[in-house]
Amino acid sequence: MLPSDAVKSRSRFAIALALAVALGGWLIWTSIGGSLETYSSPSGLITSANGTTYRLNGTVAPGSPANAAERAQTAAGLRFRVRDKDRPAVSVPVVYRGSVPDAFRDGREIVVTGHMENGVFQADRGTLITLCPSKFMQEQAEQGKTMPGGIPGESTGT
Amino acid sequence: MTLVGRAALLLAFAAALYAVGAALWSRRAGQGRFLRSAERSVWAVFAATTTSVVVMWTLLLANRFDVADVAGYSNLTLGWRYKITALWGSQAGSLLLWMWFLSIAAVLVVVTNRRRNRELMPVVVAVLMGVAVFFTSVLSFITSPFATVSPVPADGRGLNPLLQNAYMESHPPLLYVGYVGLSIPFAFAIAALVTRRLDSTWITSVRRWTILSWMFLTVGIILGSRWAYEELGWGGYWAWDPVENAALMPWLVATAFLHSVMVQERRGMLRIWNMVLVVLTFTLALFGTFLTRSGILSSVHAFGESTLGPYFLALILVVLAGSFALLISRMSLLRSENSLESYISREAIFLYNNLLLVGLAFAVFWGTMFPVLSEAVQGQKITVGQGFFDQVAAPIGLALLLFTGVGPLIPWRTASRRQLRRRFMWPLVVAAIAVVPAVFYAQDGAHWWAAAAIILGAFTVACIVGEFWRGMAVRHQLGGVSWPGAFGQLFVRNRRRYGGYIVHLGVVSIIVAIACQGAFSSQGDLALRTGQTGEVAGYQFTNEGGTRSRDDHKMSVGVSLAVSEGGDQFTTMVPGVDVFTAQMQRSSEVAVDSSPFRDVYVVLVGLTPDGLARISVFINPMMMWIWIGGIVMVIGALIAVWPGRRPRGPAAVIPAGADGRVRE
Repeated sequence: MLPSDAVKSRSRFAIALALAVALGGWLIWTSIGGSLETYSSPSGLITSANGTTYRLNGTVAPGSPANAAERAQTAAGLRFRVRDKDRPAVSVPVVYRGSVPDAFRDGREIVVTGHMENGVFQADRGTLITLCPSKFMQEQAEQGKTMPGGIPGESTGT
Repeated sequence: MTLVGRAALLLAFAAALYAVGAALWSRRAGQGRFLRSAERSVWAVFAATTTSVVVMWTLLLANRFDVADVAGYSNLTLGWRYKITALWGSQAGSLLLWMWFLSIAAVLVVVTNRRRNRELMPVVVAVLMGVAVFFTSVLSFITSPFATVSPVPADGRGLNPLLQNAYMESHPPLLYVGYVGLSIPFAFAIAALVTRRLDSTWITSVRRWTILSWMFLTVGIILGSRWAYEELGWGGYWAWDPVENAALMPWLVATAFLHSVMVQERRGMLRIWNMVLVVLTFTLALFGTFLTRSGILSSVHAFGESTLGPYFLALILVVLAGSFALLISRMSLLRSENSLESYISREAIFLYNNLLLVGLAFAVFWGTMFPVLSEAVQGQKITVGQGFFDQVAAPIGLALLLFTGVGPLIPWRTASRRQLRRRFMWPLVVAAIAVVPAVFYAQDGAHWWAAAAIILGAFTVACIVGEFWRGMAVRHQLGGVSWPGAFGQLFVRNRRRYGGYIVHLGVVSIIVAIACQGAFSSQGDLALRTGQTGEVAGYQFTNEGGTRSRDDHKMSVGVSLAVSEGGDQFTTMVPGVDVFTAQMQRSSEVAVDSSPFRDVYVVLVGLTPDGLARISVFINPMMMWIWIGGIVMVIGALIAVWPGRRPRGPAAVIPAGADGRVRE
């Protein structure tokens, strides 16, 4: 191969590569714009404006309905409060419809996507996830209850 | 007993440390005998690690609840199978499993390279044992699987019911075999860089390892989604969860590596790129372990925050910095032997496929890490929704599907128009025919990418069938072999190529199934009293009455549903819910009726005492083809690595290309 050929091929290669990277970057950029969700605790939400999509993270406040899964299928939806992990006095009411993970119950840490509307968190359909952090595990252990620890797949997907 | 376990781990740590030292020392002039010594201590590491694994299993089977991990992940009533499984339920236990697989892999490397690659082996042993030093020190000094608790509980907390099934017995170990296996190509790559033996020897030596590890990763990922589909009861199988992404990223980069390696073997190109890919693959495997164990991201699989994050991060940084510094210092030795002659050539297609795979891996990485990055930059944790991943993965997946078909039909170096026309005529005809049903199903245009997947899938299958046809025709006409005989001969003569085609068929099946499921699935909720009938997407469900039962472990409810389509009942489905009394944990027992065109997937949401059953119904088209595709991929990979007739000689040094008999 002649040197000039090699040079030509090299520059063409660089152009092709730059083009591919630019295309990929554009794809990522345009896709990411529409799907951003801000992570927030209940205390962060209360001070926030309406409209933005949030991923609300907190624990299920005591007093959530026992037949949560069934209620979430009704037109009225499942109503419960999400409590701030760090400031237990703060909580936010949530309305949710869709499938409820098996692990859902009082005290369980959850993440749910939606937006604020007149002081109520309107959750998007089927976005409720439950988590199982180590802290909760200890609490349970102290109370002498049993619970499946922080094992992979503790809860259901979205 | 726990003392034996701890001692064995310490011994493994010491032996691994010695192996690193002895292996490196053996590189000095006249000290070659230390290599054998290092290799013997690899055996010692294996023996010691095995001992501690056996001890852990004994503790689990003997219900020794004074051990924290036994008390935390097992209990008296757990069956012995799940007691074995409970080993990798805990964090320390899963690291122990990692370490055990690593020691097994290291022994296999030592055994298979007794007479080969002697110049590379000191560094290979040092790298593998260096990783072993990390894991054994973590297991000995930071999170020990043999930690004890006091007071000793009377019973353990038991294994999460969600994990008590065959998928979870097999999914984590398979994934780990894949992760660990990827450390071997990495070790050989580093050895090649250190010793400056940068011909294709290292690549041919690790070819099988790479394909096998890749295969295990594939099976691990697919079993994981199968588990999510059958056990979690939300009708889906993949949610772009950080932990899922953690397994997908190394898989994507490993797939890129498997392809670009062929370009290096054949044309001596992409040599730096291959090094980068190997390093990235191994780093991502470590990163996967880090993601799941550090608690840095909230995931549905949250393991809880652990103290291991910084250690893994440090290891990853050391690996990255060390590898790239080494790579830069050897840059002049890695010059390409050839350059790209045409944009329509096999090597060019491999390059595009590499860019797409690595690009997708990068996008997944970006999306997964976005909350961490945005928190660091803006102070606000912003997550990326699933929409992002779907939007990026769909076009890249389709382009990959296209190249899967096109690539193998395009010759190396450069292609003539006549060749292209002859080879692509029939696949294009098939694709044109496939346009008809695809457009019919995607009438509203919203499902354009499902339509595109069907058309490209048909095209790719036609390309692959054409390849088989050409190969068989040559053997049938020239060799006078019968057609079935010719078919068999293809695999005997050129395992890797035709095994690869089989893998491609599996990939087509999976991508088309994913696209169809995404576009055409439907969902509906029904509330039915006994005797009532409801309809979802053309299927009628009649409540034929509920059942309740309870035993020592759980309370179960179920409802019997007669399912019919167009008035003909074709099955009875019984979705249920178990509530495990020990943990007060609900576990949905979904009912699935599979057929080649669709799955009917029913979840029982609730059953009131007066007989009102609330159910969620999902109609998932083509789901079965995801699992079939997975099986096909494994078969193809096994064909590709199956030991065949290979030149067995002194083979200490195989010159580049000497092994390349019929590799096109």
